[in-house]
Amino acid sequence: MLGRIRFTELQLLVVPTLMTVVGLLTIYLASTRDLDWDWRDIWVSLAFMGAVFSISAWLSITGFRGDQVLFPLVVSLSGLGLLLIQRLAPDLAEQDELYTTLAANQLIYLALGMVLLVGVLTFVRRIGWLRRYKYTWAFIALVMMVATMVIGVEENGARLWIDIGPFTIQTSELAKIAMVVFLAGYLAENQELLVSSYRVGPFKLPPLPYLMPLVLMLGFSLLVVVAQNDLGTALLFFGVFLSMLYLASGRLYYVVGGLAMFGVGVYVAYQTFSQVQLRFQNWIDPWVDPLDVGYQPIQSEYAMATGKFFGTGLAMGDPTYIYAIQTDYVFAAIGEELGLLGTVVVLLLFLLLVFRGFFIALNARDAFGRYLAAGLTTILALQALIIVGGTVRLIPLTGITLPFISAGGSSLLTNFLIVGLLLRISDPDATG
Amino acid sequence: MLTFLRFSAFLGAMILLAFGFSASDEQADLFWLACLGGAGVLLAMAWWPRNTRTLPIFNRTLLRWATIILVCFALVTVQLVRVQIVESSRTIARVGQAPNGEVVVNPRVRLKALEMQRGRILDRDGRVLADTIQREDGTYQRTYPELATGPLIGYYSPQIYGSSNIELEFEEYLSGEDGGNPAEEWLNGILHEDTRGYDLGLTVDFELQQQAVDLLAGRPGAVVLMDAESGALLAMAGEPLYDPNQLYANEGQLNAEQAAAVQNYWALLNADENAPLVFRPTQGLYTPGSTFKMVTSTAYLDTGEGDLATVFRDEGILEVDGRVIEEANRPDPNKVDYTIEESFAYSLNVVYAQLSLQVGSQTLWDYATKFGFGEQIPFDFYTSEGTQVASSRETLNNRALLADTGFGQGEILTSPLQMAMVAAAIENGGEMPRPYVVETVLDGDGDVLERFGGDTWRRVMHAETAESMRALLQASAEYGGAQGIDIDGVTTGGKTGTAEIGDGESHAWFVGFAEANDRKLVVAVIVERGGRGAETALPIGRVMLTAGIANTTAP
Repeated sequence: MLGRIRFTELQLLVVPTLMTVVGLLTIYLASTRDLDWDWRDIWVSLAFMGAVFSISAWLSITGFRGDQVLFPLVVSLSGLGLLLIQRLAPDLAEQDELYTTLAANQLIYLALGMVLLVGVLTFVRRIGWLRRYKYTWAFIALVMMVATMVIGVEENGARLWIDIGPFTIQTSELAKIAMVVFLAGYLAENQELLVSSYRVGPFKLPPLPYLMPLVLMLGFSLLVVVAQNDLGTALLFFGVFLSMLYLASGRLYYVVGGLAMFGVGVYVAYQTFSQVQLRFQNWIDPWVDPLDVGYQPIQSEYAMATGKFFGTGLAMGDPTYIYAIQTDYVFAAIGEELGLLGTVVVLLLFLLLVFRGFFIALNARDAFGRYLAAGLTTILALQALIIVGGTVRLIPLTGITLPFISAGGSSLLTNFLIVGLLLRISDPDATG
Repeated sequence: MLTFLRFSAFLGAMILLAFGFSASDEQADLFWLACLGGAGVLLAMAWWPRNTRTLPIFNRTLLRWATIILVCFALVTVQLVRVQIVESSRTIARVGQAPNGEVVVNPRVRLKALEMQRGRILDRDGRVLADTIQREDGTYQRTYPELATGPLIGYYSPQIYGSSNIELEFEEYLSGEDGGNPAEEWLNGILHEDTRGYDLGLTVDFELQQQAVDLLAGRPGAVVLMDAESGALLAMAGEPLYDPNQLYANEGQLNAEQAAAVQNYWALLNADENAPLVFRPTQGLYTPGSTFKMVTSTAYLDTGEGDLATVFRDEGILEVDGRVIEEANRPDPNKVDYTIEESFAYSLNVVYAQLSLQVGSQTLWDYATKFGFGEQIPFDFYTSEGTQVASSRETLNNRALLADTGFGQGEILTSPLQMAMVAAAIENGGEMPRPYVVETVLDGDGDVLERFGGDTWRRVMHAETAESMRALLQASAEYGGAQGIDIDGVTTGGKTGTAEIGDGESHAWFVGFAEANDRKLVVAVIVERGGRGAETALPIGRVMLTAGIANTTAP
């Protein structure tokens, strides 16, 4: 038994969990401006700490031999997300009653996420069945997305959510996992064919017939998300698709062809939709209309600049001037209150998470596991890059969540699902 | 070889980034993004995984894909450094305007102004010129107890109009961000100690400033009284005045009616044809008239073309390429031969037209440029960049224009501060001091944290030339156009000017100096549409010099 204790994981969990305790205490003291406090004031972090160590202990007890670094990284990021929501929610609730339940909801989602993680590790012993039903996943994903388009509820001009009683589900979040599973399954099955080529007269062409299912799947999902005005997700889908195709085939022309298509697509969209032009203009110079569309990027820039190197300190800044600070612009809140130090640390945590995910992919036992791990990790990497790049105005902003940190139930659950799957793939005891 | 290539690629990326940082200050302007993109490509080259040929396809492609992601993260980090460190101060202070005319400022600036006691601004005797009072609701509000120094200090309107002059340029000190012990400030920031802004001590003497305003008596114009050696300004006043108290506005402090009053006042000031928001001492642009003869004389004497005793002919009329210059200033119509000294004292336009033609357009241009015409005078806040000898170097080649320029007409534009600087150069042995009005940064206990001033801007002429120029100004005071400037026990000199500006009354100018007990003061006075300089501007200058000498030599 002793040999099975996940000692590395335990050590790595100490600092991030303590961070959430100290961080929440900071937030509490900063907002009351008083040194009086009680352990009950920071019960949230203590509960988080307890849950995290329980999960680790449970993994040890069940003899789980999977990766020991991934979970602490996820705990660091979601702990930070927990702190930020606890810090932002009271200020947001003052602005709008809509946000009075934000902090509590996020806690519930976080708990559910952890349950989901444990659930995946308990009940999904093998990942092979995911592969067997790949067309089913693809079909379910498409149905869900089309359903959202038809019966979904609209928020901020985008119809991305399905209302099911107490919750709303952002279907594109689940769809992206389904798409990666489908791609991994299809690519694993047809990898020899994809690197082959066939001749038409003097031209050597890629195996177009075998690409058709992929292209159809991608085209259809892109159509749906673009119709839903969810450009961030569209970008993500496209990026994941292209990278997985490249990873499986090693053929550069897929990438070149894909990027060329992307360029043409962006150009056409730019010429056709005034909304796309607006985004580009807002990216290059939001000062053209600083009170309307330029408001968010300008306020975000003020916030990030205020942070300088050390930041103002948790709960000592004023990031709530930025609309959607708890979702799209959460990185700006980190920039203001934790400074460059905070933003770079968050980037490094994501980079470590991504590299760990790739490490798991390299060590996976079969092609499906490799592609699945690489694809799921790519989701996290691209999502972080797309939203952070948009926040610092490196690329046009497209609304998408920062994994583990932004508020949002669907996103958090999906991310924990991804981590659960990655852990499962990393388990040497799991058989295909 | 490969290692070398990788190293060069990395080096190239760094150079490209450094270049981008230095050449652009927008977060997302296309040039900067291009630099960043180029650096990204070079970085990818430097970090591209090597020896991957033996690996299986997936391992190889995954390594490459990881490298690309690494480069992307690196680029985001570079951008973060740019946004949060390099451009930080500039971004925080950035003010923009919406299409509907509303001013957009960083809300944190307003909040800070509400919560922090902004530093006071004091005159040289510690009299409070700008104060911060705490309101009943606990927030702070900026007030200006004295009207006479209001426009000099500038307005401060964090919610609507931003700030100007000293309030704008010394923001870091007034808001307590700069000036003290950096380690202590950093610690205070970390601990979130309640800080207050640092006070500023001015060189201005409020009594003199009030006197200048009283003497202008509501007529548009300006008075600049300066210490010729140090460049310290004792008075710097312009009419019409405006009341910065009425422009103050911050979030939550004004009700709708008061906010509307602020906006009305702003609209009123902007609609006023006398432009009260233009701070005339530094921003006013005028034709200098005969006061410019100081510049022409300097060019003539300093190049050694002649001396004070050189004789010129003035027959009452001179034609230069069709332009006829009539002489109005000869004391005796029968006398035609005048020395340089007499010509300056009597302000003979015909002689100065000849002087100008003799030194030539290049030399005149060079000397005016040395005096600072055509560039912004380095000062504590905004000075006009619109001063000029002529609209361009080429147009001055026109002989008629060159002749006109010699006696201060033509296309010359100057500011009151600029003319005070000309006198200061003469009085200070040929060297112009860098003018300043903010002398000290003080902490709450009145201890001096930082001290400014006493810098030299540049040398304009040889010391001997300055001596001769001084003699010219004294001659003008003794028997010429500036008679009446004499003050008991004080050496004085000066030059009047009556600048013709198309139709209507001329601008009245006086530029002069007074010297006693090792104090050297210079003054520049302009009264717009004031008529003859000797009648309107000179009396103001005399009172200012008298009061200035009395005030500053008193123990």
